[in-house]
Amino acid sequence: MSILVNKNTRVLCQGIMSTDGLRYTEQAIAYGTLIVGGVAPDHGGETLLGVPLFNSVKEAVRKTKPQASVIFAQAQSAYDEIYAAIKAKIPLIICTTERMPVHDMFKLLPLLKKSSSRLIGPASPGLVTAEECMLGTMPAHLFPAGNVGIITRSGSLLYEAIQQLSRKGLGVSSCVALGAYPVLGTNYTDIFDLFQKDVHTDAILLIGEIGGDFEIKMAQSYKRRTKKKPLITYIAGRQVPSQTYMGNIGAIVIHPTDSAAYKLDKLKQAGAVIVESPADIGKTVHKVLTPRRK
Amino acid sequence: MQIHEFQVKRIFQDFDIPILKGAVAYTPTEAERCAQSIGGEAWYVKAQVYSSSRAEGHFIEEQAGKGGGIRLATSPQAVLMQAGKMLLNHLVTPTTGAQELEVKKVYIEEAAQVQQAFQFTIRISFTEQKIVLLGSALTEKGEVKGTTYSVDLHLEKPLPRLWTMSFLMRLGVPKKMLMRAFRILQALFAVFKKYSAFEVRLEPLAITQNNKWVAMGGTIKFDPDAVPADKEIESLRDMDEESSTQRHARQNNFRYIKLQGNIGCLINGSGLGMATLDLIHRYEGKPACLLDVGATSTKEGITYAFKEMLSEPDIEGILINIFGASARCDTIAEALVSAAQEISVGMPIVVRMDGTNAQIGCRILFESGLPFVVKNSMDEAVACIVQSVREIA
Repeated sequence: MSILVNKNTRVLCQGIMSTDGLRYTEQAIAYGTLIVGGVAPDHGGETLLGVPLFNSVKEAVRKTKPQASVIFAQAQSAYDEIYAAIKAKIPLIICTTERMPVHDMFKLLPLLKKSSSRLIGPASPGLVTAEECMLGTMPAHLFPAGNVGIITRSGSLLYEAIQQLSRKGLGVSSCVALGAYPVLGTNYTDIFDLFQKDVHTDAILLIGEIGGDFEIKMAQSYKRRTKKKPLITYIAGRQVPSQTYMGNIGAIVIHPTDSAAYKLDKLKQAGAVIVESPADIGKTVHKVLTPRRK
Repeated sequence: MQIHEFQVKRIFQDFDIPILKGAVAYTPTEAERCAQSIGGEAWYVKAQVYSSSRAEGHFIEEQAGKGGGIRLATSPQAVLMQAGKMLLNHLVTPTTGAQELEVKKVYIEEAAQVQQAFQFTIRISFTEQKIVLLGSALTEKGEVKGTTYSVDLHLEKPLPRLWTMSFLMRLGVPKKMLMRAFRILQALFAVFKKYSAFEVRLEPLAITQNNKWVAMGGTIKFDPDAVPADKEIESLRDMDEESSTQRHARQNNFRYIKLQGNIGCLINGSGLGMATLDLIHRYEGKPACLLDVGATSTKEGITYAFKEMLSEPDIEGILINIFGASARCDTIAEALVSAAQEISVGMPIVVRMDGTNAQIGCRILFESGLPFVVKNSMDEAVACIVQSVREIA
């Protein structure tokens, strides 16, 4: 079953006619994702890749009752798309848009808090439940199914980690990319709770980054728990000079608490297993999951 | 993206935030003429470079004399002299690190007598995930005096009048100056919204001898992701302050980060980039730069980026660490080959490629006959490039 989505999840695609929308919807369908509709203004009534198209989010929701929506939009229209999805009460919204202006996200936060929707992203590469469902831009065909749940902010590093896992014969239950962005709709603790309850997940791998305090909140929450699954964590950016934007606007060390060292220290104190070298992610998870021989 | 003090002041002026009279000069004689047309008895000559602590800096060149990037002059001739000392010389400040900033222009501004000074900032607090207005009173030396007060702001609501007024009173703003200060902060909030800023700052906002508010200094930090869509902000970009690699990276949608070492890194994805830097340091190597070709790069773009990297003077070896997800390894391999064919490569290049079409990509590199060293994992690739660069030195 895994978390958030499975092969029976009804998925809507906003921006299905964009280059990315088309390409990744095709990949998602090939992977087995149940895409029930696409939003494409002025193309309502047509079908694309066998998927019925609708003029608006509202109409699509009324006719297809989606449980999740994945958004492919330009940075300047991401606000409108997320707004429409929240207003249409879609329970799970994944926004893949990169470089969305931060002010737009701040305008959405109060609305999101009042709503029943969960937003993952923006700038999220997406969400995969192995061999069942792919939402976003992830190369899910490279993800073997297994018992490791992954929460990450970075896409590229997620793929690296999964490859290391698969070389050790391990696979993933679900993986969720929260987004390489400084203001997030969903954070680590929300997803951790879901993995904690999921019977198919035996260990959780957290791939963090410098900047923000998402990892610190995770450490605090992990520390408070009594019954908990093992948490293995790597934080990228230990060697990044401070005050330097590292590729995405979220990843910057301004305060000492933004640094990888500080975050790793907090997570270690909370009882997480720390991966020092990015080359040892697979090895460390394998060690944690292998029962000790007497 | 950063902009100069004089550009910030023009924006302030457009929003009715009062500033002192000033003008930009590119030559000493121009500076003198500026001082004459501004009028008055004293002027500041201010180096227009991207650094927040110009006054505390010093120049590399002896002929620039003592003193930092902000100097007082009491006659137009003295303005001419000081501008002459600064222009085309190189400034180092506490915030520039080892970087030397060439002064290409100066801002000439009338000097004013200050009674009382404050500092106000509207910024996004990423840790608290909210927008705040911060204010504090300043000492004569410009240090924060007493408590820093704050007011929470919301983008879709106006500046809260009651909260802001009581905030200003607690800071010690005289009663008769309150209303005008409130208007200035309203204008500052308008600037913040108009330019989708991460931070706008008045430092200091001062009350002069003749009881007038004036923004003597200020900064605007932009959201780098909102800039490309906003032509007005884009037009403020100072091309003189950008290296050609930086410019091409920006125009081709790459992220380019300059570092201090000798290993050039070409990667895709910021997370993988940071992990690559971490690993290079673990092997005691030093990265020279990080070029992130992102997810949607074209062959032409990567060819170009790689050529730029090959011609950077500090670089003694190149590491390419690609995990192709939406980017395809064969496209990237073709780009690398075509760049390396155009420029004779005199340094080790180690490649690690994985993901979509990785095997085809590696074969293209092998068959090119060019000296690419292909490794199977990130770990092996980093170990190899650090070792190779060390052997050259």
